[in-house]
Amino acid sequence: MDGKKDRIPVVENMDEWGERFEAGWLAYVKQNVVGVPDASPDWDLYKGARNRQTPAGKGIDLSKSRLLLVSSAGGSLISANQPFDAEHVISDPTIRAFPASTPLSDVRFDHTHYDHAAIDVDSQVQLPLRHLEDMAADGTIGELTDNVVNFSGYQPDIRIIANEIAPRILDAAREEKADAALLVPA
Amino acid sequence: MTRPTAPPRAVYTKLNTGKMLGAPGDHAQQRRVLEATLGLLAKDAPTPALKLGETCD
Repeated sequence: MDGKKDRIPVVENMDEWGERFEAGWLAYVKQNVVGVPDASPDWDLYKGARNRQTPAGKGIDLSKSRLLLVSSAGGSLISANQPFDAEHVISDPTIRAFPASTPLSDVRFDHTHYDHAAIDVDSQVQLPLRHLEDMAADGTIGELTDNVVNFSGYQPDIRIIANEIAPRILDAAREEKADAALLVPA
Repeated sequence: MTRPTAPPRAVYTKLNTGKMLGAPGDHAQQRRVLEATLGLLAKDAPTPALKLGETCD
């Protein structure tokens, strides 16, 4: 996971996107939501990013590869991690890494912007650690990295993803000596 | 949200947020989605997005 060759931006025209974001969605939030109980962002003002280019890369032999699981479900260790600030109207840009061998009952999911009905019953609908262990045991995957990386997926400001969260995940992937990553979004 | 950002590999299903890999307790479905998704890593990117017919109530 070198990431240096033929690097293309996470989002093309980021400056232009940022200007629209600040003048639209963010301006509304600052004026009408921050500090106002029960107020919500106006999602009609939110415009997503659009890329024309797609990054290229060689396929890998998964059976000989070390896989990093990345989850945006906001998982954190009940006993050891600070919860994510999931109710922050702009972003919690931090990540949490904890052992991939962690019992799922030791993980809480702080991200509040999705329905927790399924994950409360079976965490593997979003954090498939036991399935991936099984796949490593049967040879489908070479091995799992020691740790799984988690962040809270409510991230309206794409600049924060590109400039803060993605670099932290990439650093973690390098530390874990990962050959590939699987993102399970929430 | 994903398609306009043109990722090198992606999987789309009719499963909803909060249960991206399948129905709670349906480990066979979760494993099917995982295996199909990880199968994309064997292909050179960019590769066409994979659309799975997996659903759950």
